[in-house]
Amino acid sequence: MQEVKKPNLIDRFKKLYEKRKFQRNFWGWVFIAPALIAFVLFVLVPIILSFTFSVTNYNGISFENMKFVNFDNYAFIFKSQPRFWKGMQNIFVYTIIVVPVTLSLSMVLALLIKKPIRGTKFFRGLFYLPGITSVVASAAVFTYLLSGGGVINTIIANINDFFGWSIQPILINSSQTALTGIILMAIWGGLGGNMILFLAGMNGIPESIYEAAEIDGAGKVRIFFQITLPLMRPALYFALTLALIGAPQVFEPILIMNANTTTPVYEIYRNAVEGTSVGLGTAQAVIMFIVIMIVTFIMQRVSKENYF
Amino acid sequence: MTKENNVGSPQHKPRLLNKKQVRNLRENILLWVLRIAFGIVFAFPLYWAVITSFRSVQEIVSPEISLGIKEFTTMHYKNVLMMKTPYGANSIFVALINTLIITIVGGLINIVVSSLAGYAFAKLKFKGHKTVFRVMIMSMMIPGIITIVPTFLIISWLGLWGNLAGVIVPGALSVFNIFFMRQFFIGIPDELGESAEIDGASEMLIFRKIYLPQVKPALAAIAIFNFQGGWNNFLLPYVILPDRQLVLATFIRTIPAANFGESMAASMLVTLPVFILFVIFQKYFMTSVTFSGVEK
Repeated sequence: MQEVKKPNLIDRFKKLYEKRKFQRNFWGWVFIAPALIAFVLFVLVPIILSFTFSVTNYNGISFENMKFVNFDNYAFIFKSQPRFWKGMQNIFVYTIIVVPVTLSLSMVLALLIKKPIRGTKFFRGLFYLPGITSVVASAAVFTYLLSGGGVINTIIANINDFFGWSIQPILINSSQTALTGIILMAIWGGLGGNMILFLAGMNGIPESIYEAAEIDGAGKVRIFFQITLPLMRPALYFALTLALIGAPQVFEPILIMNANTTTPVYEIYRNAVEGTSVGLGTAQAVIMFIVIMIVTFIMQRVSKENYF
Repeated sequence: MTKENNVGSPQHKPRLLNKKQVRNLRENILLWVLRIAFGIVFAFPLYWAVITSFRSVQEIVSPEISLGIKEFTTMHYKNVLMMKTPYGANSIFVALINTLIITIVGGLINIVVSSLAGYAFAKLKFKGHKTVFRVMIMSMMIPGIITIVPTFLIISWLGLWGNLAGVIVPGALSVFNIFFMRQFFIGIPDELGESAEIDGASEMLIFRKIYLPQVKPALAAIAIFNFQGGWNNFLLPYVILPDRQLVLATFIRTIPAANFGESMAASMLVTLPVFILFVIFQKYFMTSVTFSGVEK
């Protein structure tokens, strides 16, 4: 009896398996469809369009007079786009200040709130608050703090009076110091998120390693540099990579605060979104894209780690 | 060496605090001092914004620095709440309604899209899922600037320009959220669905009734993540919505920057809900940030 039934059962399962396999394929594509459509529409197609428009004179309104202009846009950028290159300079300064300062201060903050003693939760929340304040709200606050009669410049004026120094006031509408203001705001807003990221990295290190180091008589500083930091490499490189992709693309604060400075992305926005030079704007975007991709590529080579 | 002596010798035991406790106490005090120092720097801009919003105009423009409020007034808040759009409607009310629509509808759509896709990648393993997933993940490394200009054009070609849907639709996709959901679904054992599969339940039913309830914490995390993102979103509403269709982020910007009292009052009003939400759901805020670093 059993011998007759057995192949029958296998057959049934095989059939069921085949049916399931088909269903999974079918439903898999159905489930992924909304995401895939949005992905094609808002990621893939835009990437292709950016490259395409960058070699045309498209104005963003109609295709009627659109012409292929070869690499004219690029040539124009390299020959006569002082604002774009000024923006590149600014973004270089911005990145080499904001990224290391944010990352190292975030690390300090993470160390400060790692130990679960009284008040840890409170301070963790406090340090994270700037990170959840919207760009517009923090831009409004910093516009006030950095205005001519604002508190930061009043303090600077008092310091100058007292010590006889001549520190420049930090003004959003001065081309000399607007970038400094943007940098201050970026550091203030960027610390919280990285702090939490590093905290998670630190908490992932087994306690036994620390105990062993303590028994060996290692001091706190040595423990940090020889145990904590090396073991946090993945979190560190992850944060560094994200920061190096994000920092060069800053522009919202400038737009919101009407800051008297510029960045490449702000120029792209002015050309292609506010204005009608889509061709020029996308060509600038392609240049930015290549620059950032090179930086990311180097980062990956250096870290030999793959996050995505 | 000294450590061994301490542990071994009984004469140290009766002391109120042993060396280790003293060290611990000293460390805690140092931590507290530094925390307060950093805390003051961090809280200062927000503290200053709050007290400014309650100060009289005279006090705001006076060059004297004081940390308190001399003349308490709620005038700026009243002004902000009474502002009118050029069309006569109450600005902040319009902005609030629009922001809520964008945040809630957009957030829900994003959750549905992300969990469906995350589930498909984790459990259905359809033919080609690896390639699609890899392409999506790779796109996370691509600087957003390359997509931004054409995205505006596509919104306009879809006929969504000037429409709340134009803000909502592009927000349906978040590769990060898909990745986030996928990781959570992977953590749930396959056996759960298999018995239902043998009983002949449909894929949709298995997803909805068996797997989805298992990932509630992940859903909560992305709900909060989406809320914060939608609430704070500035660029898209600023560019594609007409002047009368304010959202809270663009509303703040309609106040002349020189009216510091009102500008601070509006900023604080808009920020407050996110802060309250943060205090209540701190745990979820933290997961969404830490996740990316923990799961590589």
